[in-house]
Amino acid sequence: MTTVLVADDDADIRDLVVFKLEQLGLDVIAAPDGQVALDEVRARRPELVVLDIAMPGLSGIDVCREIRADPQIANTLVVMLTARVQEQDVEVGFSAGADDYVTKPFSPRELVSRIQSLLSRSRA
Amino acid sequence: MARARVAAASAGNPRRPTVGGLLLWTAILLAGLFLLFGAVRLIAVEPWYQQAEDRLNDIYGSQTANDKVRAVIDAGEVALSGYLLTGNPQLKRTYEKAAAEAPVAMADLLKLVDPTNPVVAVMRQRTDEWWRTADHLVNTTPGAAQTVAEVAEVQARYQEAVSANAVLDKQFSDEYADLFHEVKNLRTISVYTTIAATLAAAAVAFLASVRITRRIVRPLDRVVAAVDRFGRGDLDARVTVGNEPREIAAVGASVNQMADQVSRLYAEDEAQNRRYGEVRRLGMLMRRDLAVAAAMRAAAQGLGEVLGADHVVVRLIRYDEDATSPAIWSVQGAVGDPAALSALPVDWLAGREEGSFVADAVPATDSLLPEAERAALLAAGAGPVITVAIGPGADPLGHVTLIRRVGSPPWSDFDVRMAEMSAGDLGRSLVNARLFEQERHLVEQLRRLNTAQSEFVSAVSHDLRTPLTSIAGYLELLTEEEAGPITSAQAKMLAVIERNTLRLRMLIEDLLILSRIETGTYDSDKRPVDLAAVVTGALQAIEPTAAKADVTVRAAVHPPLPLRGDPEQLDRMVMNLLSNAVKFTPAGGTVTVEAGQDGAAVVMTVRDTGIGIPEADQELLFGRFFRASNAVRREIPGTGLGLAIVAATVQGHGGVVTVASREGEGSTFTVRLPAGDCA
Repeated sequence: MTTVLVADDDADIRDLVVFKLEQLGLDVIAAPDGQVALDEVRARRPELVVLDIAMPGLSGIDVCREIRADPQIANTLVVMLTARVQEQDVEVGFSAGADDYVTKPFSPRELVSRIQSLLSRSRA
Repeated sequence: MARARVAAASAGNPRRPTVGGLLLWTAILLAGLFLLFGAVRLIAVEPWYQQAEDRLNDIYGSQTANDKVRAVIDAGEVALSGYLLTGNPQLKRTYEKAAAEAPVAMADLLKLVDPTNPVVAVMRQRTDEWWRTADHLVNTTPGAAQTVAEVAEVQARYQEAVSANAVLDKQFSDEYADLFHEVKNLRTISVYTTIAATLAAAAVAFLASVRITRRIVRPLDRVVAAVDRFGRGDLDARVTVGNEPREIAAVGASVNQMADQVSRLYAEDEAQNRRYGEVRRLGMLMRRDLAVAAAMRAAAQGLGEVLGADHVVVRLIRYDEDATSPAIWSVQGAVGDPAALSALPVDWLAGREEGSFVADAVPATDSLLPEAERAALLAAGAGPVITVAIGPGADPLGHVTLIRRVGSPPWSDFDVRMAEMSAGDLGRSLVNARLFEQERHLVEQLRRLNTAQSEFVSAVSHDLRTPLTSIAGYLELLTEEEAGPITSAQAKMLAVIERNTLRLRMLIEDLLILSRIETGTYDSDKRPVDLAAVVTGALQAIEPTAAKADVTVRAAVHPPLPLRGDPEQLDRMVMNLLSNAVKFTPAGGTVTVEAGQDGAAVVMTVRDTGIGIPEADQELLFGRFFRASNAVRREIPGTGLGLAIVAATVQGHGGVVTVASREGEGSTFTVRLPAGDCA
């Protein structure tokens, strides 16, 4: 069973994404902040993580960098969620090693379809 | 000055000629010359003429007397010859009468001539002989034989006497002719001599005039030249004094004196100007120096050095608890200590009507000079003192006090004026410095505000999007019946929520974009853009919406349309205009888009057959949150920010956007942007 991790400090959004991903039959881990997310990634090795950028403590960017810096988990797919839309934020996200980028407010349907396509591409 | 004295001394030299003296001498010389000619003529020539005339008269008299002798002989001979031929006693008596006259005539002649003269002697002897012969004959009988022979003899004697007489006459004539010739020669000599003498006199007069002219005109020329040079600014020009006449030397000396005076005044003026210039430069320095303390120090030192003070104290009135310490400057070796003065308050000068306080010595009493100030001035060793206000008289910012030691020359009006001017400059400098401080404070505040605004925008961005994500996400779950089936009434209500969520989202997006455009955070991304490509892209994007609304979109785009700009902003601008046109055009209407180059401008027009814009609304159309009254009436959704973004974008690209519209007929928006390179 494919495991994915969803990290967002906003519980409503986290629950929404978790709900949609569980509908697909994925094993979903929810993390309320960056540190928990990183610990969970190291402990349970999910195939893909959804990271909100603006989180207290470790930001999504920080978590992404840590993941890419750790050879054991460096292959994890990363999708960034952010409320910021400025180009430079997108660039920072990609330079930190994100595989995709979704800006808030997003359609849950669209997010799920992008996650699906990322997963299928990595498996192919 | 020395030169003037030398000139004056020369002018007073009694041996120096005067112009009047020279002229008098010339006149005397000429008169003397003419008198001399007159005298020479009178003494030398006239007596000679007189003598010649006397001699001519003598000769004339002698000749006449000689003629008389001859005439008497002739008469005697005629009468004798007649008597001897005719025996007419009448003729004898005539002869006797002549014979009686003969000695008288001879005596008359001898009175006039030198008897020893051989010619005279011969004439006298022959004449006497004739008379003797004739006397003898007259007593003979006329007609007798011997008489005829005697007649012949007497005639011979007559011939001899007459020829002797003629010889004498000839002598007289010769003498006369010689004398006449001599007189004539003398006359000629006299004429030539007179002419020569006159010419000589004229020459002497001419030379004298030339000499006098030289002695008068040359020095005058020198005076004129010197005055001229002086007048043209050569302040060293002076009249050089030589041996010119006294009057001219006096004029020269006066001119030199005047020139010295003018030079002195000029030098004084120049010194004042120099000091004025220094004070002006000081003022500029102070105004440039925005630090108050430095400006005060500069004023104290500058005024002290330029105006020659012993102490200069610059004090400020306390302002906003900002206790700027006074500036003190003292000349090296100054007497007295101005420290006490510098510590005193400076509010007393504002009450003085004269403005500044100027005294040649510290006054014993002065109604407005505080006692403490007076004592402090004395402690500073003050003699002449000036205290002027810094800044406006009624509300001064402080005082500048200039002190000279006791016994120094008093402050001149010029010094006071310079001190006042400098204090004025210092005042302006202080005001500027304070304004600068305030401005810096203001700029700091504005920068903080700007940062706060950016942070606020960022916060709004994040904090509104997050709840919006939840609302939109859960709404999607509901409408897609993920939480169970919904009724049609519920579906309608959910549609209202969805529409308003979308509206809220657009509002946030537009606000953020507008904020970014206006604060310039979006501005950094200008590069060559082809507006034709932007418009074509926007046309493709709007096509589904237009099809859905049954609005025909026609386009006439003429690529390339090069300009420099931000493609994202331009895309949004075109998109806003197109979506507005489609949105406000009822089903069956047309939207026409044209884009092309017009000289140095790229022009795009978006024309629709929509509801139009009421005229009253057109002016405010590009303002934030403004919505046309007919759009509101028809409940057409919108944020009121779309055209504000268009206007801000166009303005940010150096262009102009205009609208032409008639309510119910449609609107035309025209955007003109400066054309540029298209890479």
